[in-house]
Amino acid sequence: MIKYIAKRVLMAIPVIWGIVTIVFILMRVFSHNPAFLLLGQHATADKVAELTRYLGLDQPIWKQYLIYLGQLARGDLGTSLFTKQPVLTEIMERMPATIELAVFSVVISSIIGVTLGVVCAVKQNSVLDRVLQVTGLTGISLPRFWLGLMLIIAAAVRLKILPVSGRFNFMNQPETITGFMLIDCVITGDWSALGSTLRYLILPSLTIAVASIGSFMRYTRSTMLEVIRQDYIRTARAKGVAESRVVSRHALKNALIPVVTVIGMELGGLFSGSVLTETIFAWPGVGQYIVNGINNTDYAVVQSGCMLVAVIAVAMNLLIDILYGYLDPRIRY
Amino acid sequence: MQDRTDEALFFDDTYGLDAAAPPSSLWRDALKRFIKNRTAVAALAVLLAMVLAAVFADALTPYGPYDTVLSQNKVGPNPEHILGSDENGRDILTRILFGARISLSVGFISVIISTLVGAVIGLLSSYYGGWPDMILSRVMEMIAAFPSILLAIIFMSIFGRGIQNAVIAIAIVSIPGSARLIRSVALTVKENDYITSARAIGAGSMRIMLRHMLPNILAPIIVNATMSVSGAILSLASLGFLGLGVQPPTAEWGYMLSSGRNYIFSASHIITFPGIAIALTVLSFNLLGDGLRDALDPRLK
Amino acid sequence: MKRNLATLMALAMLAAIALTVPAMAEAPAYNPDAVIYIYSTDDPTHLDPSLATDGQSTVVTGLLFNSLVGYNRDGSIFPDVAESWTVSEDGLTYAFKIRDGIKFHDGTACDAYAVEWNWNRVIPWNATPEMSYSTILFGNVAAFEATDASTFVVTLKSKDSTFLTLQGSSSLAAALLSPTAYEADPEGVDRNPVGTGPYKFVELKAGQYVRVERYDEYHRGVPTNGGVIIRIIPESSTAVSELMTGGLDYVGSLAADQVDLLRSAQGIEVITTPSQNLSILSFADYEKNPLFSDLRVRQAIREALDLEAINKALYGDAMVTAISPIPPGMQSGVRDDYVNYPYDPDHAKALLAEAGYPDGITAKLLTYNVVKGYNPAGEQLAVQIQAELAKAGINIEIQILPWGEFVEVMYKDPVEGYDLILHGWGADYFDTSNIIFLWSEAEAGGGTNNSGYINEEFEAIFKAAKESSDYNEAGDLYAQAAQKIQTDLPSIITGHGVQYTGYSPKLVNGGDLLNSVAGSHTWQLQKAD
Repeated sequence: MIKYIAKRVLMAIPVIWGIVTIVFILMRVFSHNPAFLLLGQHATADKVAELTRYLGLDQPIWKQYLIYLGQLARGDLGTSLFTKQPVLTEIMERMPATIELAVFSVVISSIIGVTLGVVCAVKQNSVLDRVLQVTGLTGISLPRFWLGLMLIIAAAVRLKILPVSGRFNFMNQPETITGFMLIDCVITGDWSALGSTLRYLILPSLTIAVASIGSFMRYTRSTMLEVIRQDYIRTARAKGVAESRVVSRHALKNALIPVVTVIGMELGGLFSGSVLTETIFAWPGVGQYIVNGINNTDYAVVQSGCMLVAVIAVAMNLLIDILYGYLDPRIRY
Repeated sequence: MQDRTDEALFFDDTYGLDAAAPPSSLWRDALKRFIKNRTAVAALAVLLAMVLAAVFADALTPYGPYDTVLSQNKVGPNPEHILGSDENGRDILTRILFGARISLSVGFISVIISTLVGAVIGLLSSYYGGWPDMILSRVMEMIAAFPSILLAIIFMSIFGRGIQNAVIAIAIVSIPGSARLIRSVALTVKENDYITSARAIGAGSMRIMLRHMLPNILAPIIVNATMSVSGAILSLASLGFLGLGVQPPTAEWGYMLSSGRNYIFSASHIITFPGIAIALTVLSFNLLGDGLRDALDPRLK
Repeated sequence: MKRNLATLMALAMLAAIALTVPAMAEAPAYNPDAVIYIYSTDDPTHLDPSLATDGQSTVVTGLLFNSLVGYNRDGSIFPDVAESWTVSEDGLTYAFKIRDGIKFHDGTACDAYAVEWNWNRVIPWNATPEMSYSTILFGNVAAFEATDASTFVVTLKSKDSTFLTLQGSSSLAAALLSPTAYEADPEGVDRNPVGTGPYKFVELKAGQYVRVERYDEYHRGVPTNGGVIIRIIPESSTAVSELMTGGLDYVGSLAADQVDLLRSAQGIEVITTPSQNLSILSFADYEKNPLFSDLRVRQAIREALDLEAINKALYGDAMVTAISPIPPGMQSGVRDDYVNYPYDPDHAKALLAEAGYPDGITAKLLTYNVVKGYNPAGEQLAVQIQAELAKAGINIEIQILPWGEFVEVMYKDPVEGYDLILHGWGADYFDTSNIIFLWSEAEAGGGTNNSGYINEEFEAIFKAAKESSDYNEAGDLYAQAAQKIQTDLPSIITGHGVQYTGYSPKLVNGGDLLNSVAGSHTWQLQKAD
């Protein structure tokens, strides 16, 4: 097992290096000079040239590349050209918000999605199955940013039942300890803040969940059907085991193993990929941070941000595989 | 590319690959099964109607997509403008019809590119295995390690807005998905007897890949491609919404949403209808893909 | 059934009126500790005012700092940290008397020595290249010195009527920062700003908010609210939704469409501030462009555009059609007798034919895709210009670049690959020089003067206006310079964006936000609970 993990980690190194290099080239060779933006509306050619020199951006690309790799090797992700803050600090400040939204959405959508998926499989080809299938697909087909805007208008502006945006109510602001608002509320025992913070999570996570529920449901359905056809299920049925018991005891457990993979991948994707949802709901996440960096041509932010995102994705994949092996005893590394 | 990984959704190893059955009857049976699936047929009909409407858009509407009538901007649905007019006084229905051209063609072209490239990569890595597989797989991992939306945003903001760049960006981010799928199904086919026997009688690598492997993995490729079109259309809309899609005044659904969202409170029809157009098209492609999979893979039905 | 519904609705309305009337009748009390919620689209880039260049930074620094002088609502200056000043006869030496007893938030005295320390940091010969406003604000300073704790003397290189006005930029490099706080941690000052302003900095939560709290010893009086929270909300329609639902207390730069809705339905008050900005369609380095070096062709484009109708349709009342480059909210040079080329599409065609283009022309237009105060709908304006010009046989190809790249292309000298640039400018301060300089090759250089306008007569008028110490004379000179822009047409000024500010009914004196410069009156807001 350890050997397997070590091998996977070793294989990940060239992947990460490749990503770092590609993003570096994209940013430094093809992108524009951030000095214009840094100087604001009074930029002149002389000032731009001076600032470019001052920031060391006039050095040869290969030299800057080596400097950057050296920094990375020392664990330094660089500092933002704009805010002058270390990129790692800035990302870590935003990470809790991202993780909280991602985990919350995925937990909700996997509970609903898997349940509905099992229902579909058991009632295969019934009217209910068909309706759920089409509904699930509709959820997958809605553009997320559009859904988010529509939800704000409907639930927050017209009905006024939920807050528009942000993470918490300033009148009822939870004390920050871990940065994970829900956990902080529980630690401090601030139950009223917990309630209000949860309300802020509903619209953004619903925006994400509408699509995820559909995909988890469809996936669960298909793996369930797959398992139900297997011999041991047939045997169980033949032996006269009650259908509900067949489903809950035998089929579900085996069907869920591959579903875990899909849920894990969704979670990994959400750690950095919910850019549009974050933007619309003013959710202070990592995706938005990197996109702002792209808009500003903030080199270190984009390069190191992308690297971190890639590391998380690779790590998630590894974790899923390990979990998979743990759940399915047939797989041995 | 909603902001998530799509491939997991439709990528499973459950495609029935009945290599022993003669392909012709497989396709004929599939067609029969497909016709019986009313939802899928309806989705196909919607899509055909949409393609026709896009092609004959000029004939269907008295307006042009760029005809601005300033005195009539932001008017709601009325007999003259069935879906109302936008902020520049252009007919929204007309722009949706012309927008279908862009969305559908960007969807098709980017998926054709990503499927072709994915097929080449998938076939090569599955057939040769070893270090070619190793290298190709690592390259695919590199692209897949990014959330696709982020990669597309970087690409578009560096190389600029435009249909051509959007096609390339969307194709690039969809390649790993199709390559991985094709590689995995090709691997199962590769172990089949007829491949072994073809190799035994001395058939060349190229011939084995193209003549023996490809036809047998065509079904999952088609299903995956159909589903990918829906992802590509959503990607284009997302880019458009972020202001990174096409150049104005091109009629593109995502861009229509993006420029219309300033008027979300005063003239919400400007962003309602393009949103519905996107959802309907994407849903139809997904339903069609679903139907195709059920038809081509009878075991799941 | 229908009747019942009508009765019900009538009853409901009566009930609503009954509920609101007594509330309105009472004299609105306010809570002196209430927090004011405002918003910004992004984290502040800098909290150190010497580095601030963008709106999301100055919205915060404007609350924390003061400088020698401040701005009144009409853009004129009032004595702030400097209690009074005298100017030598040659107009080159200014002696400021520093107000007694002002303290920075950390208790350090803000005396003439502190002012000197600040100037030493931002003066062009000491400033880092990142201090973009250093040369703008202090470029004309020859020497300065604190002669004692209450006297600060500045010598200028040349006579300059704008010098005092510039010193009011308290959200930018003219702000006074606590020397003690800086010396304790020079690196950290960008995240721990200590000034003399009405609010003390509390915390910045990346991507979420910036919190500042009341400074009870503020030298202009105790703020009438407890503090301000600047929420970070990237999407403007989200911000408007927050305003409607009570999550924000006021929102500046509303789009015209949102205004009507807010006014009619939500009980939100909306006030307008006369424009201090302009939306500009420039002929990119036109002297070097064979197409546009001919005035007739530029004039044809101007005459083919019905600016009045375009602005009305796209922006409603939010955009005043320009008759000169000088926005109506500026201090001087605002006249109503500018001579302009009329809207005359037939004449435009004739002009093109005369210039040798009977079949029309093709040009490439560059613009950007972020909402700016001076132009809330850049893309839509570009599209409309394109559609209008097409009618006169002028084919425009629009190219939208992301903001960062747009800026780079626009500031390149000469501009490459584009014939027209649709951009804008928001005044940094209220002196008209900050508008006219945009066309001065001597002052703006190749960058900001992207039309490449080079005209000796214009430069001479501009120089005379800047040096004039007579307010009316300067105004006349600026008006002359502005008229030259309208006649020579290096750029077409399409309009001046009116600033709409919407505020919640909870703000008792929200009307005071009228003409409030960069939130400079926020500290006097009173909010009911």
